[in-house]
Amino acid sequence: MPRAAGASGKRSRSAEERCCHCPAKPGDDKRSRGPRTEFLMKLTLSNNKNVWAGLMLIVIGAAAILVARNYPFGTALRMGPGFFPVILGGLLIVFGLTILAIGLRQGESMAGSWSLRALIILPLSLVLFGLLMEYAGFVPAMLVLIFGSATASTEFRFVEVLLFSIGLTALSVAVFVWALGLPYPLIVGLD
Amino acid sequence: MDLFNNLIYGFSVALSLQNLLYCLIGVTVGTLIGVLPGIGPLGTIAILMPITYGVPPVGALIMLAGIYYGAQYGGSTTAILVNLPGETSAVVTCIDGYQMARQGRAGPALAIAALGSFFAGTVGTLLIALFGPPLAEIALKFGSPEYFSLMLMALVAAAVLAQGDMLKSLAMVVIGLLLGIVGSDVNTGVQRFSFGVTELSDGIGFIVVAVGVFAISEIISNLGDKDERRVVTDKVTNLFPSKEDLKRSIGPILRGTGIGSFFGVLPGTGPAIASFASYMVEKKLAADPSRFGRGAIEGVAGPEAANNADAQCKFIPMLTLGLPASGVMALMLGALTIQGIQPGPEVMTLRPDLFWGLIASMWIGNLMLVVLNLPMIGLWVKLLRVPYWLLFPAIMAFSAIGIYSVNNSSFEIYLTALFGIFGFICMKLGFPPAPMLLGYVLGPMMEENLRRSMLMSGGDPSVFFTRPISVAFIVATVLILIVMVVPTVRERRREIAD
Repeated sequence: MPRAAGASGKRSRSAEERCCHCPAKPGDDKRSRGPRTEFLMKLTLSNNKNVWAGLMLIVIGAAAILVARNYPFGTALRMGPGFFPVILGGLLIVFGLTILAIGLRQGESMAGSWSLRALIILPLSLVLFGLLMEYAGFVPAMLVLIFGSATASTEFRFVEVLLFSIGLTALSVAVFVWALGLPYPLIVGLD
Repeated sequence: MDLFNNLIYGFSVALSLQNLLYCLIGVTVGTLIGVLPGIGPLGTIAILMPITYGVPPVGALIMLAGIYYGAQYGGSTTAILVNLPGETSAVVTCIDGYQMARQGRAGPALAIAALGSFFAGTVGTLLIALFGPPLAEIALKFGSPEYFSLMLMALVAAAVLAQGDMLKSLAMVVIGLLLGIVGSDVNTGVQRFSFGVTELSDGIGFIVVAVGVFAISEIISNLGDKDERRVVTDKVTNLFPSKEDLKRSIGPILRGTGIGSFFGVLPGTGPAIASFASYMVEKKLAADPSRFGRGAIEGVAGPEAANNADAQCKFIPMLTLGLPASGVMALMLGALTIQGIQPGPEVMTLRPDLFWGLIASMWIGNLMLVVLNLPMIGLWVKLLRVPYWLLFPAIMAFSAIGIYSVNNSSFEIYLTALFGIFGFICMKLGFPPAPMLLGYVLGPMMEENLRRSMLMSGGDPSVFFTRPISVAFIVATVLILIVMVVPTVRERRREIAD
C-alpha cells in the first residue's frame, strides 16, 4: 500500500475505501456491497464523482463541436481546420457517456473536501494581481497577491503574514526589478 | 570511437563554468522542492521556466533537468527521515527507509539511496548516449504517417499505463489535444477557439496551462487537506553503510537499475511504478522476505536505483523522437519549443551541443547531488519545518511573476487562475492532469502530421496501415489497449496504483 502512505493524504480516503473491497471476491462483493451502494446512492447523485466527470466531458465535447462547426470541415484529402476539433469533440462525448454510465451504475462518491475557501481566494488573488499590475504597479500587486492568497489557509496569522508579504515583496523588487531588470513600475505614477 | 568522442564533447559543453552553475542551481532547487511537500517537480519546472527564457537553450535544459532529478533525491531524503515521500517516486522508499531510520540507521539508508541513485543515473546516462543516436537515425526516416502513428501510440500508452482511471486519462489527452488547437490554424490561418480574443490568437501559453494545472490546483487541493507533518528530531549520524549493507545492496541496485531503465522508456509509467516493481522483485528474491517492511536495506537500494534509472531513461524518447513519456518530459519539450528548437530526431544533428551537453550534465548533476547533498542533509531536514501557510503564498507570488513576465500580459494571469480551478475540478473528479499536458504538447504536431499524411495518400486513410513502420505502431497501440482492457491486468494495475 505505498500510495496510502502518500504525503498529501488526499488519496487516503479513497484508498481505504478500496481496501475494504479488496479481499472480497466478485461473488460476495455484490451482496456485501448492496446496502452500501444504496446508502451511497441516497447520499449522492449530486455527489456522484463519475456522473459529474461524464457530464463535464460531454459539455466540453459538445462545446468543441458547436464552436468548430463554423470552421471549414474539409475533406479527408484536404482536411479543413474544423476536422480535427470535431473528431476530438466527438471522442470526448463518447468518453463522457461511458463514464456517465459507469457512474450511474456504481456510484462512487467524491472524496475529500472541496476546499472552497482556497478555491475562491487563490484564483481571486491572481485576478487582483493581474488588475493591479496594469493599474497600480508591481509593489501593490505583489503585496495583495501574497497577503491575499495567504488568507486562503486556515492557519492564517495576520501579523506574521503581513511581515512576510512585505519582506517577500521587497525581495522580489530587488531580484526581479532591480537585478533582472523586469520593466515594471513599482508604483504607478510614482516614478 | 564515436560514442567516446561525443561524450567528451558533451562534457566539454557541460563543464563550462556557466553550465556548471545552471546545473548546480537546478539540482539545488530540485532537492529543495523534493524535500518540501506540496510542490512537485512539475509545478516547479513550470514556474521556473520563464526564468530560463533569457538563458541559452543548453543552460536552460540543463537547469530544468537538474530540478527534475534533484527532486528525486530530495524526495527520498524525506521519505527515509520522516516517512514523508516528497515525491511520488519515493513512496516505496518510505516502507523500509523509514524503518531503518527508526532503528537509528538513517545514515546508511540515505547513503545507499544516494549511491544507488548515482549508479543508476550513470547507467541511464550511458544508455541515452548508446541508444540515442541509432534511435534518432531511424526516426529521421519517418514520414508523416509514421509520426502520426507513433504519437498516437505514445499518447495512448501514456494514458493507459498511467496510474488512475484509463478512460479518464484518455479523455484528458483529448482535452489536451483540443487545447493545443486554440489559435490560428497553420495551414489556413483560420482562428480557432480564440473567440476574438487577441491574446488567444497565438494559442494558450504553455506555462499558463502547466502552472495553472500543476501549481495552483495543487495548492488549492493541499489547503483543503489537513496538513499533518511530523516534527523531525532525529539527528543523522554515521552516514557510512557497513560492509554488510553494501554487500546486500549491490544486487538490488543492479536489478533496480535494469527495471527502472526498462520502465523508463515506456511512456506513461511514472517512477513510482518502476520503484514498486523493483521492491516486489527484491522481496521475492530475498532469502528472508519477512525482513521487508522492517528496515531491509534492499528495499531502499533497489527502488531508489529504479526510480532514478527511470527518470533518466525518460529522456531517451524525448530527445530522440521528440515524444514526451511523462508530464515532466512534456514540460521539457515545451521548453525546447519556446527556445526555438523544433523537437525531434534532428536535434541531435543540428544541436549536438544541446544533446550531448545535456547528457553529460546529467551525470555531473548526479555526482553533485551525492557529493553536496549527503553532508547537507541536516539543512534539508530543517527546511521541512517551514510551515505551509508561508510556503504557498510565496509559490503563488513566483508563479504570478513568472507568467506575467512572459508576455507582460494580465490576461494570461486570469487564464492561469481559470486553469487552476479547472485543474482542481479535474483532480476532484478523478482526472489525472499529466495526460492533458502530453496531449497539449503533441496536439499541433499530431494534427499537422495527420493532415500531411492524408494529403500524401490522396485522402486514403489506409496509408497508416500499409507502411510497415506505421502499421507496427498502430498494432502496438491496439495491443496496449486490448491488454489493458483485459480484467486481470486491470486488477493488478489497480493494486500497484494503490
